[in-house]
Amino acid sequence: MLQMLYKKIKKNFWMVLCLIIGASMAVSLVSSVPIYTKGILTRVLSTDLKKMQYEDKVFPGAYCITKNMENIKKDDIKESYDTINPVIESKIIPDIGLPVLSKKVIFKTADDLNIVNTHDDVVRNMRVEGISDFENHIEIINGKSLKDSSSESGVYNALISQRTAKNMDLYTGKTYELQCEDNPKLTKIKVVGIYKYKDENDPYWQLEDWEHSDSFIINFDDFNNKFIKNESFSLSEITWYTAFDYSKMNLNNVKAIKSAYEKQASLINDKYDAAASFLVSDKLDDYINKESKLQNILMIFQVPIIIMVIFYMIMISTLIIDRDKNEIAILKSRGADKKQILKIYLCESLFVSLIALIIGPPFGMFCCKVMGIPSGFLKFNDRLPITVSLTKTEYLYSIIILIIFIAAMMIPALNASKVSIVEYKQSKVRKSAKPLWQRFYLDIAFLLVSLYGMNNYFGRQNIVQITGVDSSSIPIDPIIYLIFSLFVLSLGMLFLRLYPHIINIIFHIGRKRWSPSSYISLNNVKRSDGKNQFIMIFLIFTISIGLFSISSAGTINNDLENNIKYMCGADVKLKSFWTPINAKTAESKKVPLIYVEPDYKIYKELKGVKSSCKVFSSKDGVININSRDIGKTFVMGINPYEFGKTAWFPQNLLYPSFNYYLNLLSQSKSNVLISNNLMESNDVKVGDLVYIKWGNSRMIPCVVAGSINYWPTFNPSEYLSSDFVVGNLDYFQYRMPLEPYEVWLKLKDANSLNLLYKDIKDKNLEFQYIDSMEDKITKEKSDPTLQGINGTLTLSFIATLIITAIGFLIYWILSIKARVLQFGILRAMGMSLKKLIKVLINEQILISGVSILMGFIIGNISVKIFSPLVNIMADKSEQILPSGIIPISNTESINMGIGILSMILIGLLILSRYVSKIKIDQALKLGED
Amino acid sequence: MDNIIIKGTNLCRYYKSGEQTINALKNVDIEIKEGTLTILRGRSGAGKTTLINILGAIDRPDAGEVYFNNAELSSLTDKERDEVRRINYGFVFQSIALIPNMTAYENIEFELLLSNYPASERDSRIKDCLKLVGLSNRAVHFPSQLSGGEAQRIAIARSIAHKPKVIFADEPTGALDTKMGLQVVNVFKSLVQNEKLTVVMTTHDPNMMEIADYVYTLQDGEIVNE
Ligand SMILES: Nc1ncnc2c1ncn2[C@@H]1O[C@H](COP(=O)(O)OP(=O)(O)O)[C@@H](O)[C@H]1O
Ligand SMILES: [Mg+2]
Repeated sequence: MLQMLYKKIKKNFWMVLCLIIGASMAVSLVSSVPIYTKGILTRVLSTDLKKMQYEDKVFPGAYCITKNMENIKKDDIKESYDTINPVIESKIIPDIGLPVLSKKVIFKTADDLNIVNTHDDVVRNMRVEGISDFENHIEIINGKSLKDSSSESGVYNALISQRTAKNMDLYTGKTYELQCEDNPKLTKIKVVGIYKYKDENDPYWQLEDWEHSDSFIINFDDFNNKFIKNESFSLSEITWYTAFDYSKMNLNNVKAIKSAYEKQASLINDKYDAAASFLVSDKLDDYINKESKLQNILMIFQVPIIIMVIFYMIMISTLIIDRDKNEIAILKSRGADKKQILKIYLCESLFVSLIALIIGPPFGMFCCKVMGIPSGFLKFNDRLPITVSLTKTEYLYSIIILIIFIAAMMIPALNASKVSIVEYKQSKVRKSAKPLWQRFYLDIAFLLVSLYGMNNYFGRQNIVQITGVDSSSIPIDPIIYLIFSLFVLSLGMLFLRLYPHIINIIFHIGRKRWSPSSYISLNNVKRSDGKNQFIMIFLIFTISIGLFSISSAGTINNDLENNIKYMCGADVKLKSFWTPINAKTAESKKVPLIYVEPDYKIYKELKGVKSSCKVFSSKDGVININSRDIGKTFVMGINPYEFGKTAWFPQNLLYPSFNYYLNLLSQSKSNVLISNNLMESNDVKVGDLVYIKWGNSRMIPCVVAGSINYWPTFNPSEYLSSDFVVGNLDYFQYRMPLEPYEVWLKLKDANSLNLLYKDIKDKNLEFQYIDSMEDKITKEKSDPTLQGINGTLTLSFIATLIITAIGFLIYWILSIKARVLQFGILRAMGMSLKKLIKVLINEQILISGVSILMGFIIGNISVKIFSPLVNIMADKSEQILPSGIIPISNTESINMGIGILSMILIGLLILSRYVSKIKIDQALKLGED
Repeated sequence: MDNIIIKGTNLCRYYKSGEQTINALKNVDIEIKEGTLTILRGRSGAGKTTLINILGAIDRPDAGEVYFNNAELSSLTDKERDEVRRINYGFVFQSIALIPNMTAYENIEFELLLSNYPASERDSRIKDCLKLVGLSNRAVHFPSQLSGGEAQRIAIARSIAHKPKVIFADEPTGALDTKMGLQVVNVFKSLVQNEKLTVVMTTHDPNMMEIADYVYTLQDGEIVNE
């Protein structure tokens, strides 16, 4: 058996190699999906945790258990400590499952101990603490450490922090006498030294304990053994502090950590009457929430890869079996029975699967690692590293794919093994029947199913639009991907149903004139035997998926960027310091503040500035319509001409255009534009007189010139309840005292921002604030979620290309190998090599070329139809502008086209080389037996 | 009439397989006279295919020369040899070497296209050839719809369609039973008699010998008698 397998593999070495490469590729792609997702989620988690530490200044690994000891009798303290401490040591802390960086136990008295022998009358409330392992983490900056100090009987040596020394005005070397409330007993404490942290970043110090301010810190053992027993003070609390290594938190353990903590917290509370606090736990809640959402979004982009890989596996195995039919028939004629044949095939596919399972997942992991997290879609400069690991999931995915592969190998083998050599020889040359899907009208069925599905989803989209339901609350459904795939497949199949007929017509039109090469290739396409159709569908499908990734990435990034730009309003926004000259009198007399206008010319002269404008805005404006005041109106004053040149605003966002509305404003000084909502809900007509005011200003009469939905920085959904008015700044300033305004700048080009910043520094200019659009976009883009989406899209796109390329090459190599005899005959008949290569070129054009073209066409159609659906699903709650208002550049699609064309060229080269190496006499031998 | 159309002198062909060298042809001299049916006979492995491939300009000898109408062939480039085959030769193979997804008619049409047969005369030529092999009613059938003998006769029709001078047939009856084999051989016979064609054919079937004008017997790469 094994020998037979060995022989078979040896004989078909190249074929088996193709299979192994094919299967390993499929396995690595499939396993890279979960690997990559985990990598991204891990990054999201670690970014969140780092933010917590460095921005919120909370150490995420800090875990505290605090037991209140106020009501515990002195004699019971030891027992109480001895029951709870071992539980914490041996159960609670190990249960969290993270490495411990540092830990300490703190004993504290109450904080109202009074120092009675001071040099002044200030009341000093102090506490005494014992902290385990304390002296190893400090540095003495004044005096001596506890262990170097000699002890006097009846006096406790203590250390104090710098802060304590300063706040309480205490000195080294002095002995203080402490008293607790009205207890007459005094306790002597000698300050032997002042300490500071040896290392600020030592996890030992990450507990928020205010640098133990107002505390005397005495030896930990003394505190337990002597201090509490002998002195009059009672113990206030014991704290067990543990610093966990939070960097070891990852996807695999967050949930376990979280639930371990929750269990402990209630146990500690119920059984030991203590409180546990693990600061990171709320963050973990957020994170777990975010994780499931993000996972859904990422899945949108990954489901197609998996569908494609399955498709590809089926294609390859069908090809192989098709070629092997001959061999099966021979085996049978030599007396092998059905079982044996199936066994051989099973062994072969198990062998291939095993190798794929060994190579695939680590290779997928390697690729993910090499790729990292790109800074944007297909942007590989400054990409970030990604943590990758192999777990059960990858192997589960791989095994599922391989089971499909084995099934795809076995089913045709099963059929083939039923046929005897005689039947086979007869069927070999029989005119092939129509492909299965055509006979069963699968194309039409798929189309109907996908149309039905689409209809359902568009219904949902309407719900979102009409009711304004938060789209993220609608569950993302991977079914949409099936629908997308079915739609693409059905269009592709429909095309393939027609294609042979089209070729037939072409064939007949030029029948008399065809060159032999064209005659053969046209005939091959016209009477295609299903195999051609497989590669055609495959190409159409992969290209559509590729286009889909490109367009989704484009839409997501573009929309995000445009939203930021819209909300920024201009490349740079700044505000000078405005100081009123009548600040005091204005307040008392309730008159408007009066300002002196800062020099406006300087902005125009700044380097890198193309144009500038003044923008006045107030959030608490009031508009008076039909003698009714409507508050909380957003008022903006501009100079239309400069504003139009400076602000970022897509012309087509307003109908008929942005300029049209600017013109309306400039036609008359008193013209204003108001938000649609204001117009509709108050029954205002163009030409109506309204009054506006803000702050302490008087009412300004204005004429409504038009209504708008969008205006730079105006968020219609945010202002849905309040409203918006834009008018002429000159008119406002003429009617009202001068008010502080913002200056908006438009920059010349990409380098201008740096120039501008430098110029501002050189000229020593200072502003209340200066914001740039570019900085904001850069900041948004470093959001790990967005990076994750971009990374996944990149992965999915690259996977598409790889799978297309490999599928393409394997298909063509196998198909040429299967036709060696035919080529030999053609060559014997006197067909020159050149003409034979022309046959290959023609077939590439008629099969690959046409499918690629169709792939682009069908892909574009489907993308048009489906991208709104992806939009509503890809949780974009901050979306203000309608999606796709600015067309996405299609450089990526063009690059993809170029990539695929070069793939065809490489394929052609390989094939031509192969064909030119065919020896005619050797090829003809294939026909003998 | 006794014009020698193909001549091979001192033909040698070695195959190297691993360590050992097989002498498939050893100094073979052979002459084919125009307008005759020549049979190369011999057991399997005797070198018949090797010899007919060399005579038909499909393969090159390692030593010796092949002449077609007194022109030496092995010194020609591959392209020139393609031309010789395309215009002057026709081939019939043991396996049924029709293009499976073309009908009988189209298979012949393709051959005519390949040899630049005038477009206006193609249709009638195809019909003539089909009639010649007695299969006029099979024009629109695909190879898979024909019996083995019929398919081989279509292959013959194809090989003669462009009016070649010589037909090479390597075991054309190999895949057929005796009855069908005779049918095929009779077609060759009538072609030689009626169309003045030259046919070179290999076989290991002793029943075929009577119809041949000349028989060469090959044994271990050598011609043993005439
Ligand atoms: N490509 C080859 N490589 C090695 N040996 C070959 C090759 N082709 C033919 N032979 C050997 O040359 C000899 C003659 O073969 P062939 O001409 O095919 O014989 P026949 O057609 O008479 O059966 C045989 O021994 C065969 O094994
Ligand atoms: Mg032979």
